[in-house]
Amino acid sequence: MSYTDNPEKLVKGTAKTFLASFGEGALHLACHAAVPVVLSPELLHLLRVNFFLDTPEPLPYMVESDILLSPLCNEIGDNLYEIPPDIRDILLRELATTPAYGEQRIHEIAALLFQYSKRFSPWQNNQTLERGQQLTAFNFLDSQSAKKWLEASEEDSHSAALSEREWFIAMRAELLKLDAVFSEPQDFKTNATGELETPFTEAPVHTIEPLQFPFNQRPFSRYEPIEKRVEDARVLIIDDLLRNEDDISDVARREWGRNIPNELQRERRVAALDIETIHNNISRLVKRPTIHVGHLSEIAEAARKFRPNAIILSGTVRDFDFYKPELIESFGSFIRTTTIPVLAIGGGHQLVGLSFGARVLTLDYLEPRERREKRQFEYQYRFMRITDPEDPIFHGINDESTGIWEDYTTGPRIIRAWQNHGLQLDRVPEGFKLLVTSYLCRNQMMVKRTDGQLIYTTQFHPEKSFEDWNKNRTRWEHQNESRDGRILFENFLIQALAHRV
Amino acid sequence: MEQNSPLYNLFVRLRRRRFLLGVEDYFALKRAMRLGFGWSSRETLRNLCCLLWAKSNSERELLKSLFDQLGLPDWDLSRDISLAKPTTESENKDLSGSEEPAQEGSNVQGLDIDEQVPATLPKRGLPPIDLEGIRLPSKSFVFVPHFPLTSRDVAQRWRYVRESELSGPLEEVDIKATIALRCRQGLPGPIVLRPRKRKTSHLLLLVDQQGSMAPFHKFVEIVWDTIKRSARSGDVAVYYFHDVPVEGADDRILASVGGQPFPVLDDVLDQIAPLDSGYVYEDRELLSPIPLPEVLQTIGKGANVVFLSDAGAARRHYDLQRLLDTVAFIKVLRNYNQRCVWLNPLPVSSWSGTTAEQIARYVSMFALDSHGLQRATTVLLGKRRPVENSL
Repeated sequence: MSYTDNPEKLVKGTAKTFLASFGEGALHLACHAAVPVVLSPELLHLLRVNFFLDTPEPLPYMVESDILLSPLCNEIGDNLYEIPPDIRDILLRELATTPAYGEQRIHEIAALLFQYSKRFSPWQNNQTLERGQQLTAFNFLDSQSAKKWLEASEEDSHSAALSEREWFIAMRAELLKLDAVFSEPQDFKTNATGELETPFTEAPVHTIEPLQFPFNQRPFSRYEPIEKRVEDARVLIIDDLLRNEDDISDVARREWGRNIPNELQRERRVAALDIETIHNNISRLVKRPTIHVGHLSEIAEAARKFRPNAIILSGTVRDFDFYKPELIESFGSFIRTTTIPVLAIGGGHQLVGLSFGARVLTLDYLEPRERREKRQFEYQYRFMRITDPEDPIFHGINDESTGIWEDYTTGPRIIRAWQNHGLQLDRVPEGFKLLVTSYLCRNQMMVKRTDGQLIYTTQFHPEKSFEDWNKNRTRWEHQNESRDGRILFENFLIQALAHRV
Repeated sequence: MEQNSPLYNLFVRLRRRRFLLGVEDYFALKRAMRLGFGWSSRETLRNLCCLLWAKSNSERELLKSLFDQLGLPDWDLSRDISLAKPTTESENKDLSGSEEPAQEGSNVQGLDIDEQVPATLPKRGLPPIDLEGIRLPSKSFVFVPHFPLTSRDVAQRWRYVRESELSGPLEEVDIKATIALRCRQGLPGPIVLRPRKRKTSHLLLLVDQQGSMAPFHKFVEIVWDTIKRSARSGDVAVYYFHDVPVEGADDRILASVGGQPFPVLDDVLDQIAPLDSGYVYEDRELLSPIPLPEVLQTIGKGANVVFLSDAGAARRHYDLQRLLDTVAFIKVLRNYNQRCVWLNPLPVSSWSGTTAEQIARYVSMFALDSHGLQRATTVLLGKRRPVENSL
C-alpha cells in the first residue's frame, strides 16, 4: 500500500524520513517545536539555544533550517510555520514519552514560549495568534486553569466579533485535542533487551478529526467563511496585457529597443499571475464555473463564440501608448456596444474610460509619456469612500452577520481594498456614475447602466483582496486584509447573471 | 576540583557561546573573589562575572541567564554588613548556610528589572492571560540569539575591508603640493589643502530574501546590518532579491547539456550571455523593485559585491536554470566590478549536490562563519581568488 492510500502511514513515513535524513538530534528539536501551535524561525532558534546547546552533542545552527524547510513544516505566512496536526500530535507524544524530557521538559518549553510571547511580543500584530500561543503554553503549564480561563473569557465574549468567536471554538478544540494526545496509550516501547525502539514504528494516529489553529488551513479567506452562492456562471476573462510584438506600438519599440523580449516576458509573467488570481476567485465563488481566457485583441470574437454571462477585464502594466492603436480601437468598438456585463479591473478600468472619452493621466495629472519613471503610486490596502451606497454592488458591505473583523466595517460608506496603480482616469465618462472615490484618485469605481449595458469598473483590485491569504508576501502576493473585494466580486457575478437586456 | 565548580561550568558554557575568554579571565574572577568581591549576594557575584566577562549588552544578558541556570541559592549579606562590621567567621557562616530562604529584599532588584521589561499590552478583544499563581519551572531562559557569527565578529573582521581614499572637505595640509607651489612661484604662497584620508569600502550587498532563506533572515540581517553600520553612510548599498537577481537567461543552450542527471555548464560557458535585465528590491518585503542596471550604474565600477544567499543549498536542490541565470548575472558583475564573494549561511558540507556547489565553481563562495568571513574579506582585499573558473 502506498503512503497516499494510508494517511496514517504517510504521517509516520514523513517523520521517519525526517529522522533518517537529519538524525535523532534534529528530531528531538522538532518534538520541542511541536509545543507551540505555530512556529517562527526565532522561536525555533530559542528552543535550540536553550535546550540543545549544552547537550553532549550540541545541535548546529543549520538544523533549524532543516526542520523549517522539511515536510514536517508548512509555511503558512510571513515568518510563520505550522507543523501539520497529525505530525504534531506524534511529535508531542514522543516528547512526552522520552525519558530525558517528559512532563518537566514540556513545562519548560511552555514557560519559554509564554515568556517569549510576553517579553518580546513577536505576534503583537496578530492578537489571535499571540493569545493562541499563550493559551497553549498556559494549557501545558496548568491545563485546568487554562480551560477555566477559556470558559470565563468565552462567557464574556458574546458581543465579540465573529473571528474571535471562532477563535474560542478552535482553541477549545485545540485544548481537547491536546488532552486526547496525551491520554492515549503511549507508543514508546522497549524491546526485549530493554533498549528503546525506533520512534514512530508503532505510533498510533489519534482519531480525533484534526482541527487546525484558527484560520490556518481553510480553503477560503481566513477572516470569514465563504459559501458558494452562485450556482452556474460562464465567465470570459480577458487578458489586457501585451502578448507579443504584434501588440506593441512604435513608441514601445523605440523606448524598449533591444529589451523588447524581456519586457514582453515580464508582461506575460504578470498576466499569468493576474489571470490565475481572477480564475481562482471565480472558482471559489461559483459552484459550477465555466471559464474561458482570451486576449484583449480577440475579445469580440471570444465573446461571440463563448457567449459568457460576464466578462472580466484584467489589469495592465504598461501605458496605453505602448499598445498598438488598432488594439485599443477594436476594444473600444466592442466595449461601447456590448450588452454582456463587464467588470473591468485596474488597467481594464482605464481602458474602458479611455474608450468612453476619458483621459488616462498620472496621479499628479501628467500625461503618462511625460513621466514614465518615478511616478507617484497608490500601493497597498487603502480606505475609500462609497459615493452611492444604494448600488447593489455594495449589498452586504455593512452586514455584520457576514463576519466583521475590523471596526471600519461598521462605519458607513467605507471600503478597503488593494491598490496598485500609478495612472488614473481624469473624469467620470458620460453615461457612467461614480461609485467609489478617494483623495488620491477621484475615480476609483464607476458603473454604466445605460443603453442596456452593465459595466462596472474599479481602479482598485477587488480580485486581489482575498486570493493570496496563504501565500508568501512578495511584490505580487500579500496577506488578505479585507473582505470587501470578495463582496464586490460576488455581487457583480450575481448581478451579471440577473442582467437582462 | 574546578570541573565541579559552578563558576567553572559557567565559564565553559560562555566559551562555548564564543565569549572571548581565556584562562586568565577565569583566574581574574578567582583573584577578584579572593580580594573580597562578589561575596555579599548572589547578585553581586553575578554582576562581578558580568563586569569581568561580558563586553556588550547582549553578552551581559546571556551571561545573566546562564548564571541563573547554575541554580545557585540566594544569599544576602548586606543586612549583616549594615548592622555590624563583618568578620571572616560571619562571612563563612553565611556563605555556607546558603540554604536559608532568600531575604525578601534580595529580590527587589530583580523585580525592578522585570518591571522594566516591555510586556504585551492587552488590546481590545481577547482578554490577557496572566500566569499569577501558576507554578512555573525554575529554569531561566536565554533570549539572546546564538548565531555562527556575532555582530562583533563581523565588525572586527570587516574593518579590514577598507581602502584609503581622499574624500571630504579640504582640511589637511598637503605638504608636497605646498612645497611644489612655493618652489614654482618662488614666493611664500598659500598653503595647499587636501581632503583627509579615510578608510572606505564601496560595497554592494545583495541579500536573498524569503523562501528557503526565511529561516536565516535574522542571522543574515545581523551580518548585513553590521557591515552597513561599520561603513560610512553611502559606501554600502543593500538590495534584496529572491533566489536570483535576474531571470530569463537563454535556456536554449541547455539543450546540449541535457540528458545528464546533474548537468553542468562547463561546455556552454562561453555561450552564456551576460544578463542584467532584472530587478532587485529596496526593501526586505520585495515590494519596491529597482532595475538592476540602475543599481549597477549607481555603485559604479570597482565596487565589491557580496551575495548573502543559500544558493539553493537549504532545500538541497539542484536547479540548472537557477545556475544558468546566476552565471549570466555574474558575467555582468565581472564587467562592472573587480571582486565578488558569496556568503552562504549554510556550511560547506551541505552544498554538495546542490546548485550552491556549482555556483561556487564560478564565484568565491564561503560559509557564513568566522573562518568563511575571514577568507571572504581576504578575497575582497584582492589577495586570493580561489575559484575554478572566474568567467
